[in-house]
Amino acid sequence: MQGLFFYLFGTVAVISALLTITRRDPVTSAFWLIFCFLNVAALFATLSAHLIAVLQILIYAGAIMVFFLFVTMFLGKEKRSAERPNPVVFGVGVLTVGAIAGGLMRLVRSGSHDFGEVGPEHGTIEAVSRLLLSNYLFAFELTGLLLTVAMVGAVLLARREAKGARATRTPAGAPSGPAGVEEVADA
Amino acid sequence: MNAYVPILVVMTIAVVFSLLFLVLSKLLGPSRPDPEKLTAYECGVPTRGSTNLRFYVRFYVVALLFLLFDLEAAFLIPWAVSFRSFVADGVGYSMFAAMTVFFGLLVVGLVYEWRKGALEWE
Amino acid sequence: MEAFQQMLSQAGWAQGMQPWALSGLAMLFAGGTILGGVAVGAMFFIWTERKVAGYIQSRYGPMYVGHFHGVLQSIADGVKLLLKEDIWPTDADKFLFRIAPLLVFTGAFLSFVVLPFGPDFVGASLDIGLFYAFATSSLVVMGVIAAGWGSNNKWSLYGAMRGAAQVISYEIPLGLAVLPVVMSVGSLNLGTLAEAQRGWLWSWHLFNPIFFVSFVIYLISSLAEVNRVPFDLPETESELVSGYHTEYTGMKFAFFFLGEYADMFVVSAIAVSVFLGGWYTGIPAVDAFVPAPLVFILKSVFLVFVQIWLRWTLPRLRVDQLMYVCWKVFIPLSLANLFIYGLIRSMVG
Repeated sequence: MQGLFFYLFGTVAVISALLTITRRDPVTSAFWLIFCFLNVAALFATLSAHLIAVLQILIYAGAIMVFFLFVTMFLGKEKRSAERPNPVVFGVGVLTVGAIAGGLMRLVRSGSHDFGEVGPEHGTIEAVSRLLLSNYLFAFELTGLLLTVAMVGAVLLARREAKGARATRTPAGAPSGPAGVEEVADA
Repeated sequence: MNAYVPILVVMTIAVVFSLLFLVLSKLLGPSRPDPEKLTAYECGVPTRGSTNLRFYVRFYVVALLFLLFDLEAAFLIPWAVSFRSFVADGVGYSMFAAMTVFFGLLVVGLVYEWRKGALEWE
Repeated sequence: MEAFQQMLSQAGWAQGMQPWALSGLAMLFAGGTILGGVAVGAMFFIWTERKVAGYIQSRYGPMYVGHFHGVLQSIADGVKLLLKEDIWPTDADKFLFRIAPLLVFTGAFLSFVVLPFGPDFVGASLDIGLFYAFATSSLVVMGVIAAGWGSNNKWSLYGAMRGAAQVISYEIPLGLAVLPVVMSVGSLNLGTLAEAQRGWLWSWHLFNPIFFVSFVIYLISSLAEVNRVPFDLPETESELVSGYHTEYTGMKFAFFFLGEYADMFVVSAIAVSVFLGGWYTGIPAVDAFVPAPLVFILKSVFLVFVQIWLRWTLPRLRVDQLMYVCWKVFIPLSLANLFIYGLIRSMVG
């Protein structure tokens, strides 16, 4: 039963990930990415990682994607030229993905990393919070600091943009803020 | 894991139901398109310019702040759920202190934003 | 769901069925009940809204369809919407325009799974139920954005931006407001939260001063969450035609409508299970013979009525006022509330 769900959600996740990178319209891509995240959340749920599953939806499919979509809307609806991707870039991309996938396969096949079975209680909120507030307390507090720094960064960027916006069209780039935040989410 | 199966069932029902009704309305409803009718309805005035709109930069700030606060909340949730058992174990005070530090940083960020006027919507 | 399973296991024709088939059937029944409930309930709310609006403005509202006070008006409207032409604006993005109503409807509909209508009447009793319900509302935000972007209409896009900014802003005080109650009960399961309010009326969370502040914040934020007056800026019919669903006709429009009314019920039902005693009447002796789902639904319908009442009484806020209330009043207030509650609990125990 669990295997069935794994293959179902896994396949859909991979397909929607492929659609994400092949669509031309950035907003359409973003929606396929959301769908991909939802399937990943379902995979977490099948593993009884309840908290992670719901955070995957709340943070990734919710907050981060809203942010992406807002940025895309700031960039506006410019007609993007339907040019083919640069073959060199494309080749490098395929090679990198292949290398990572191959490495992962080898790692799993070799059996040197035995992740072990965990009980059904392992992924509950209670278990996660006990770990978070004992073993990883320092990292937890550091995360708070990191978020505060990100907040200050957001204010500074917005101030600069608000000044720029009066003169020209809003530049919506500002990648450093969201990148920093994503690291936090991964932590 | 079995607790989640009803969600899947209900989701399937919702999607099947809505697709069914969309197809039904396609079949039952008339289809008499004409170029005038298919233009965007902007109060009946002919559409001017593209939808390439300029948005107020505050929308961007709001999205970013939401992202940060959502992450804060993501850390608050597990703590809040187990707070009761922390109190029962007699470590309530130290756990409260741990959260106060985390929380204090959040408040510092919020106060900074307030002072810098990032929360103003002129 | 347990109730359906029990009923099935006692029914004659279901004897000798495999347990998995039984629970599968129970799930299908539960899902069907939810679907029917949502459809009928939303129609009922639309009718109520029109009647309440009418009486508040000293008129009758719908009177003809169905003889008695126009009770069948919503069904007639539903049929009308089904028979209307499905218009696709020329420059609309086919994919986004199509999925937007589905996202809004499915997002609202999925929240119903975790609502505890009674001890045995829960679709899925999830330990993260409360935050699952918040997570599904992010699907609704996505639907709003898809509608605005896909319609290729300036008004839709403005409405969608406002709607998204508003919903995400108010999601923060909404989430923070319920945390003191979560701390006191120690669970995010909506059923457990309701269960904690068993007994006399004063054991409801509403009557605890700190939770009362939470309740007020929750109630007002939930109005913003479902884009109701005084927070209906995404729709503002006087400036944006109809906001993000301007270009939608027929059944697609109906799904936005259904989604909105279903969402109104969901936020009310969450308020009932967290603050207003869930399926308990407040008098232990009465609880024994009153069916739990009835109490729960009546309380939720009352809160929906309050939302309708407010809509026809209050004026609309401006965008800057909206953001002011959220970021400078509710968020600091709910954080202070949380802090005070934590302090008291960690000292008193």
